[in-house]
Amino acid sequence: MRRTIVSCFALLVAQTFVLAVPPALAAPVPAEALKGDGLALARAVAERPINTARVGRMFFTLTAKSGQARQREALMLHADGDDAIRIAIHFKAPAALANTAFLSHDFRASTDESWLFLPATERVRRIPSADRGDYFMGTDITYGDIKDDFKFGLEDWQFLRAGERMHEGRSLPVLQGKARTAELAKEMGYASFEALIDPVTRFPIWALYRDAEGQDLKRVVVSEQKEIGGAWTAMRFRVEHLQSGHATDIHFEDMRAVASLPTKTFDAALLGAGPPKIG
Amino acid sequence: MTPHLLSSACRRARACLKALLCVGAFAIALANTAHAQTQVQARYEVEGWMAARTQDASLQLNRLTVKPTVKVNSDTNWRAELGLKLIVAKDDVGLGRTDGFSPASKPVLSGEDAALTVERAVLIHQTDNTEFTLGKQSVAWGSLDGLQVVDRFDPQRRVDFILSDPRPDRLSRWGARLKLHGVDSTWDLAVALDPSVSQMPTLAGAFLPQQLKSPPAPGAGMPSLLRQNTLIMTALPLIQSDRNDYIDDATFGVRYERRFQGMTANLVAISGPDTEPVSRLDISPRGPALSLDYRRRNLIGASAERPLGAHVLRVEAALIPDQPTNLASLGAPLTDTRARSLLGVGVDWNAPADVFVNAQIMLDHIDQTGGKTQRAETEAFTTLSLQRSFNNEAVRAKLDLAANLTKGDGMIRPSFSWQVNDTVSLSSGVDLFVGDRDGVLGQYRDESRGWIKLSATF
Repeated sequence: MRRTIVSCFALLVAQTFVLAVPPALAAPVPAEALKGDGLALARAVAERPINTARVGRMFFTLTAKSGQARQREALMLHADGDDAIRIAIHFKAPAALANTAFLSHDFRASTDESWLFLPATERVRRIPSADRGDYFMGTDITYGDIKDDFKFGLEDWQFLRAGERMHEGRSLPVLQGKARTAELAKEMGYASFEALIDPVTRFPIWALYRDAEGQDLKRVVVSEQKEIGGAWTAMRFRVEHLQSGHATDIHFEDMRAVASLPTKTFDAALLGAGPPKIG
Repeated sequence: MTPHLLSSACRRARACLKALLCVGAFAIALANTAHAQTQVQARYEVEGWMAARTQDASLQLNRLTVKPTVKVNSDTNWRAELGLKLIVAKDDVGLGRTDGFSPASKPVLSGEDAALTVERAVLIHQTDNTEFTLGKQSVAWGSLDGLQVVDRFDPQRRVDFILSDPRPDRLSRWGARLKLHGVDSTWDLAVALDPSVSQMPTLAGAFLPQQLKSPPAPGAGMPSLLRQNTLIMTALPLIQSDRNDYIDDATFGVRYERRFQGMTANLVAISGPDTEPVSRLDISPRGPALSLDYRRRNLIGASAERPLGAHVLRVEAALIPDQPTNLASLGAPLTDTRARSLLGVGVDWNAPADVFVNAQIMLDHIDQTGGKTQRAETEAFTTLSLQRSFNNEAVRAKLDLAANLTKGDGMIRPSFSWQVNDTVSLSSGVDLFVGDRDGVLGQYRDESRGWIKLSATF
């Protein structure tokens, strides 16, 4: 349960907010990047700047192969600092999850730290870090997806530019990647991918991941983007697990960029006190 | 019901209702404050739980629990919370004794098969750096799961032994709590002006400790001294010491937490009546009886948590220099205070194949200088929990093990749960008690059971 909650929502949060792009970058990728090789294109995606702090309501729909759906709603807070990415998630629905809260500090130079508050136990508890390839909280997103933030690790993949493809009336550059080693593939849970890169927002709006056997594993489709606080943000996207038939739909409401979030927002000791009031 | 009992019940109900009205009035005032935007959040939990003994398939547990909770939040610094619990049961586990509660904490309504209690009734004032909570609440300190080293502020509900989820099954008490948050540190001050102690099963309760239920059979393996004492205890009526001294029997506690990058450390001090009793022979004009006393004891302790990759390590240690205890005795029970030390270690591990592992061990030592105590000098307990989820977390399989290493007895609980939808979950399992019948766990061998639970939260 605790591992579940951590994973699923942390990922969603990260993905959600990582998609925000500052105004300065809300311009097409430099022509040289779009015309360059796969590495140049991947670098253009990886070097996409992100906002420093964001707040929003996040809605998840987890749909099983049978069609049965489960809903989640949470308030998420995300801050990118010099030392770490900090994410706090306060669940509001369903009632069984209400007031459950998750906090993670993803340090750039040291081991990540995560905490979970379960109302039933009345305690804030440290939880162990998950592997990159672990799925979280019943979603179809991995913990590694959180860290990757809709980017592709330059050390993880060998890239190839594969021309362009029409997508919803636009011709988009195609980026392909292959895990550099079998160990990396096992760690990430993906052996290869193919993605269409939006030249305006610089993130992959369509991606297909394959497993070590070359079988289709997961498809990610961003269906709605919006400029919020001067930054482009993915407001709605869908992650389908093609082997299990399970899917995760995510959308955001009331999302806004804030100049900064108080340190207390990400203080583990305050996790049980409920969502903070953000001015 | 006799006029006396009726009058007592009415007084109790009136006292509780007064307290509830205070909280309710404040909540309503909060909700109607001009210029204040309020949000009322209601939640209901309904749980049906049935169990049958593995030995003869007889019904052991048949319980319906309803827990409504209301929270009133406002855009001011105040908020209010009220939580009630209604239990309806007609089974062999029962509802438990109520003579360990203070008058203010007794069930608002109670009968043979039903009880309504106030689980939480608080007003909270919160700022960026402080949180003040006034009312009926519980205080969860410590970091281990179910093994209590420093987590000894609250009394517990022992009616289900250790089979509640989550463990421990805390009893809330009336009091106040203040948290002061600094940079990377927190002071947590708590006082319970409520002398309630742990709730024991009734004499007919399935999980009544064996030594209070019936004399052990000759040759049952129990040490002769203890057997003799047990015979005395079971032959006399049991009476609780008065639980109405709200000041002298108050519990005080302070915890200081310091958070480092990569570690959290706590220091804890608690002073209050022990939540578990020592027995004393009480001679009165009505005749001899065995009185259950809850003497004040003091605790100092420390705990630490540290993540190590896929692991989180937890350590707790506590010293109780004046632990009240019964001495091994051939005659009337004797009591003394002894130094008691506790040490607990636990680890969480995200193991391969998506298995979550939690393993813990606790050592509990009591000084024997000046005569042997009724309990063993050193007791060791260990727990192990393995769980794995399937089908995108809709199904969870779990195996819990608990063992008393001193006696070699234990409990095994395989279970599964199915989240049917966002509201309803269904779970089922088996609780098997094994080993020495004189052990803390093995004494319930005849109460091994299979169970099914249906829960709805909305």
